Amino acid sequence: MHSFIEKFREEVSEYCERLETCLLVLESEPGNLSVIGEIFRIMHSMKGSGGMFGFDLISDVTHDLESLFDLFRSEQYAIDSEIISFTLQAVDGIRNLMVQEPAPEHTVLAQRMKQDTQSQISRITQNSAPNTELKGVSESDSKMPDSILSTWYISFEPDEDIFKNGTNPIYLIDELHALGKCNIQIIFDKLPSLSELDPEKCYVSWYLFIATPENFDTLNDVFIFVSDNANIVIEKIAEGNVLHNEQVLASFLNSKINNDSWEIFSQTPIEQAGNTKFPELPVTEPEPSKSEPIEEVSVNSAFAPVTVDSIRVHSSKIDEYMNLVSELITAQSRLDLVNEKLKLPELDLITETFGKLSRQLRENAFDMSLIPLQSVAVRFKRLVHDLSNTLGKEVELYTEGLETELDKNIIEKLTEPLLHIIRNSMDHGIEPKNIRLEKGKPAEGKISIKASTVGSFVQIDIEDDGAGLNVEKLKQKARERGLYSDQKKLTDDEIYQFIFESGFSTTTEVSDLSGRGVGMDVVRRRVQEMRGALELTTEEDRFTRFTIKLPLSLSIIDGLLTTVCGNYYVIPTAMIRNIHTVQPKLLKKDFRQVLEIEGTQIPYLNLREELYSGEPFPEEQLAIVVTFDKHVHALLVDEVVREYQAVIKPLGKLLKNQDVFSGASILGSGQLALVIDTNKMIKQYS
Amino acid sequence: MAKQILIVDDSESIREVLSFSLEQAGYEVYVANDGQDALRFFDGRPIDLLLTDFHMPNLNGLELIEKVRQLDAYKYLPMLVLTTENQKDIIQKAKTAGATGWLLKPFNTEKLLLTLRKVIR
Repeated sequence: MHSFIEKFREEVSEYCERLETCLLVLESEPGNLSVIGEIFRIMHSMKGSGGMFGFDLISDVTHDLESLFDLFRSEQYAIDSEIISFTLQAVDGIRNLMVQEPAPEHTVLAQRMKQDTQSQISRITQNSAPNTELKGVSESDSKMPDSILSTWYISFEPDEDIFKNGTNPIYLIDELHALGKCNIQIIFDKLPSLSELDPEKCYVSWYLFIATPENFDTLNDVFIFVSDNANIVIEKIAEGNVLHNEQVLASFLNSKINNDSWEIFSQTPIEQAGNTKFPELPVTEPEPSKSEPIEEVSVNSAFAPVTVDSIRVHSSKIDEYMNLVSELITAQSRLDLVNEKLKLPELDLITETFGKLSRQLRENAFDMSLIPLQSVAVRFKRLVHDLSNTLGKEVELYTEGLETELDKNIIEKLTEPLLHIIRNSMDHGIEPKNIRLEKGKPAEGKISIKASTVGSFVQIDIEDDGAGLNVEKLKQKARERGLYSDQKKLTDDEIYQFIFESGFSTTTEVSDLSGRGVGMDVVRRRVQEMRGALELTTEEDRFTRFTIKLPLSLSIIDGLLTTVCGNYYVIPTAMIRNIHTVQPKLLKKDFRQVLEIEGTQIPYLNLREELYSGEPFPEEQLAIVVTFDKHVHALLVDEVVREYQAVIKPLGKLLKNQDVFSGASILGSGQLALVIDTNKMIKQYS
Repeated sequence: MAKQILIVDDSESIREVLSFSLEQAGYEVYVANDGQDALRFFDGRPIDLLLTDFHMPNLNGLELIEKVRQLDAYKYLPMLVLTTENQKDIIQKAKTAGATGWLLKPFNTEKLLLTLRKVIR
């Protein structure tokens, strides 16, 4: 049951997202009946499933919301913006109500939502009388058995065409049989001669005595599906089991004789009454479901496999899969190593195949864990919609390339920062309408989100056409906080970086929007945690653009395995431009460490010097030129071993406080290689 | 041979809980997302019971039942409709469309199997 509940939770979240999408569509096309229908259906599904899985509050609340949207389905009433905003709030409410054991605040919330919904209904129908719809009929069958049996008389006379809606009356007799001891009689008197018999019709009827602890309702319920297609009589004869008491049964039947067609009973039933065994039920029913059409079904077409385009897998399974693949790749590099040592031709072949397969498997695993940014787009739209209302600014959200896929873990971690940037743009970036008009801009602001894949990175630009950053204001603020003095010569770009300082905000009053405790510093940190970069471009009165660059995946990277003083280091291939041989002795030892390669001067870091200071330099080293911001920078290592797929494992607690190494990888030989975050390393050591 | 039941519901959780309960009870279960999706099952192959939701996109439960009932091979197929409304008119509509019976949500396994026993063995 637990897994169903999990599924239900997932489903409710999905429903909520779909609701949001629908509502946002309705905002522009309030009369779109198919969207209204969809909302109604979603509410209905949540009501049904909520009840099934014990989320009674959700079931309760959606019941009323369903009634509300039922009004709009008929086109009799029109949806207005209040309904849309109200329902969007309700969606948030539903998310909060996803609890099985509600706390008092949940009950209160649900109660309030129900009241609000009712008042919306009254408002829409212009009728102050609240909808007095009955709550779902409680299924309290009160199944307390009387412990004492009673004997009942039941006659069941189905219509001739009872088979037509798929009913097989014999099952109902069976069901009665399950409720207690029965004495059943079949009446064949309507059965025509064989030549006249229509196998699609029912000519049989039954009457029976039953001794059962059940009450009238339960007995009547047996026939609930056929109440319109049959003559049913249920009468209590006596308390206790009188099935053996022929006299009671006989006198009861005799009292029935006077009624129309019951004469037939006076002859046989009484001697049968003592017999509690069931007479064998003759097979008079045609077996329609087994008639000729079935013979036409050829064996191979029967139950052809159902093709399924997509299946849903819990994300923890994908995580586990990724984990196993990374273990496999570690094992594979161990195999590579053994192969190198043994130099067996047969093993060589296997190693190669194995290597190819595990690479494919890795690609496949990657692919599987990628989800499109689109999956969070609704939240962006929702935020812009909500903020437009609260801030009184008209803002259009423009998106491009949201089909770009990213590792789901990245998307999860990225959503909050993205939302924060949008929040910031709405709050601080986009100016109020009157100011925009003064500046000669269109009244409606614009925020655009563009995503694209660049190499092994995904780039996301979030741009607003708002006020941009004001250098003077930033300087002023930075001075106040002691981050800046006029003696420091800083470029505008460097001044913009101040907004990423913790607690730095240029608006004097903290609005309730951007002041949610997440500052731009947190946004940058989040992005960096994912080995991504956050850049800012801005022009006053024109635009502000945040550019986020992220690796496609977090857990496995292509790297270059190098050694420094006999220890292994991995440099991500994505960062590497080229590699050159250098002789450390010939390098200039001046204030700025620069080496000259093909006529250009490149600043460098000698890892041997930085990490193992005091060790003598070897004759020859390799300069690995990597991209650093918009420039290049060289890292000097002793040796390059080979290319290497690094499965990155997080570093332990003791190494948490450094960020020069983004993780460690275990080599096939069991040795450890540290994965260098080149940006951080260059920043820290130069 | 195990009886074959086709479940049609647009809610995955309901589909799953139904499949689970019915498979446990020894039935063979097939699922479809909505009426449109379900129709492809009715190509003459034997099915013992159709259990369909009422409100669904594309083709709703009643439309599905109506369509299936008109097919010669499924003239007598027991069909149950899943609904939350215990309303006479809905149930009447279902019967007119050709439904054999109905099952009211919420239900538990016991109620489900009991209802099933009314229409198949």
